[in-house]
Amino acid sequence: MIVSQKPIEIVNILTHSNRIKTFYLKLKDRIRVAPGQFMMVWIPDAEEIPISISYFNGSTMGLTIAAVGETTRQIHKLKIHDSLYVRGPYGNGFKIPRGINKIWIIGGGYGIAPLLLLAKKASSMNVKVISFLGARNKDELLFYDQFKLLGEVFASTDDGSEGFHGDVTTLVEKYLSVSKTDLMYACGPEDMIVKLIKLACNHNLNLQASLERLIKCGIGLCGSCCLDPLGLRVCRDGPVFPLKILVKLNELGCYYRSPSGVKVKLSD
Amino acid sequence: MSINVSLGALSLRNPTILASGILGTTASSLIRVYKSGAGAVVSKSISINPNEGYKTPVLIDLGYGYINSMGLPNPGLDEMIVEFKVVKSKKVKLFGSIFASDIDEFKYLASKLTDYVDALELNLSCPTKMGVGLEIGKIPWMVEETTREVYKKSKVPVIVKLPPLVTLIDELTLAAEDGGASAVTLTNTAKAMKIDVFSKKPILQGVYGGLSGKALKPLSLACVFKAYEVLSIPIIGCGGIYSWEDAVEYILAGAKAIQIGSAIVSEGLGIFKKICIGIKKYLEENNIDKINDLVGLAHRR
Ligand SMILES: Cc1cc2nc3c(=O)[nH]c(=O)nc-3n(C[C@H](O)[C@H](O)[C@H](O)COP(=O)(O)OP(=O)(O)OC[C@H]3O[C@@H](n4cnc5c(N)ncnc54)[C@H](O)[C@@H]3O)c2cc1C
Ligand SMILES: Cc1cc2nc3c(=O)[nH]c(=O)nc-3n(C[C@H](O)[C@H](O)[C@H](O)COP(=O)(O)O)c2cc1C
Ligand code: FES
Repeated sequence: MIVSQKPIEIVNILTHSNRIKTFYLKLKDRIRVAPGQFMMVWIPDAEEIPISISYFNGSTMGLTIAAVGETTRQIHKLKIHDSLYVRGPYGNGFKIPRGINKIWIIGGGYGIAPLLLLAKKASSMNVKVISFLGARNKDELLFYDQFKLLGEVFASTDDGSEGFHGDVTTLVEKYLSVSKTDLMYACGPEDMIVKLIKLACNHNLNLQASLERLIKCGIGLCGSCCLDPLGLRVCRDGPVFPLKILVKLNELGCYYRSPSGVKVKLSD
Repeated sequence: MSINVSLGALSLRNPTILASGILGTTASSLIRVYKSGAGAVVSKSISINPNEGYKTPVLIDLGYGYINSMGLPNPGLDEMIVEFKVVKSKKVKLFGSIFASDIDEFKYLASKLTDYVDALELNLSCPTKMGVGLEIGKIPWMVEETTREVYKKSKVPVIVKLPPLVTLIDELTLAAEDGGASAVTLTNTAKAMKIDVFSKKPILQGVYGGLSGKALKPLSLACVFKAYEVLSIPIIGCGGIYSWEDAVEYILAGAKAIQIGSAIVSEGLGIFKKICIGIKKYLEENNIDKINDLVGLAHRR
């Protein structure tokens, strides 16, 4: 674990699209990483933000970052040999229970990134992996070729530039009429997660999903990422939660809390 | 063997309390901590209007403690009352923490909140936000006046939370007592900072933060010990409590109850139960009937 904000050199940058890049960092500290865990990432004069780990081989770590606002756009300006300050890894990742033979991995947008680490781990345990990846366009089907090396892949894009023209959850639903799975894993936009929870309940399938809320401290102290009605913390008790918890989180798809803690409605 | 304690008119099922600002913004979180074994929970410090706090980074993990500069984020009085109603419906022992920049605001907050909490805790000691907190908490006459005005508006006991200013703590706590406080919480975090040697800049956006956790304990403990010699109202110890040994140290110094914050990171929410079990065992082994008989024993010399 890297405890305090520490600058780490960027040794490579992979540009997926004009919006998404993966930064590779060379770590000197020995750390352990579970798929689904996140780092707190900072550069001076910007904010510190949570980013999931998309690659790790013991010494090099990949962080796949979508430029959506102030801080992420600043990070996108960095070049090889610049540094990102990181601390972590934090949170509970995806778990692969014993006796599982076949899993489905469902990723939407930059949510695809952390699932690559999971797909690799499952594969190395001889678990059969089928992936459903959804993105805006072909370029943002992150690590598409790498997922293909690990098993069958079904893709969907909003613009129809690759695979199914439409929603990744529709793709999953279609596939459910011909096949079944022991366990689904999901990371992506909240409306995708909410749909998958319903699908899992209706089809009697199991699910683990990674959630997002406002992360400030990252270590379970400040309470800014708490979920109703159980008071579970995304940064510490999550970000990955099992179905039996997910079904109880009545705020999912309805609201989240702003930096002050005021409830903000999720509109759809 | 019972470990319930009374702080003036307040009685708690055990002496462990969740410190303010730790998991204290939402009802569901406060209820979860109470269910995990705390004797009472203190809410995040509340202001009249919503406050976003500082931009991240707001936390530095030093390894031997934390520096935070949350900047008192809270959803404001009206939203918090909604949360408090839920908390109270679950029979949770709840202290409402408040902060303000002048006495009129303090009076307003106290009069609005007094119906929804078991006690009010005045945060006169936040080191991160200018103009509120520490600016009042380091000046005895301001502590006394603020306490008195809140006391007049409150139907519930008023607890005053002070900064770890060891050299001033006897005057500050006496001022709180004179103002009508039922208890004091010693202490809040200590003003602290960290500089990044690579960018040559302070890491925290607010420059200063508050030091909590292990590094704070000797300071807060000295405050409790010193205040016990002059005070007649009960003291709640707070700062770097990680184990029953830490808790007993505070009780021996003069605290009747203790608050826990930072230790939740490494010890988890089970810490409240664990400390209670430890204290019970210690009392048994020392043939002491109740916590009260342990309070301040380190002063016998
Ligand atoms: C556990 C976790 C893992 C994440 N992993 C990744 C990842 O691997 N790759 C990636 O690109 N992004 C990830 N995110 C989201 C990322 O943290 C936000 O996109 C980032 O904080 C936005 O910062 P900004 O200043 O650029 O944008 P802002 O200007 O702050 O906001 C732009 C948009 O992002 C949303 N946003 C802002 N802060 C957060 C936050 N803390 N959590 C969620 N949404 C936020 C805002 O509501 C807004 O819509 C993750 C978030 C969480 C909670
Ligand atoms: C993240 C964080 C937020 C805090 N917020 C508040 C607050 O809103 N009001 C307050 O009176 N104290 C606040 N404190 C101080 C704690 O209540 C406590 O006094 C201090 O952390 C020392 O206890 P500890 O060492 O057990 O953490 C905060 C502390 C931390 C670490
Ligand atoms: S971000 Fe502070 S508790 Fe999760």
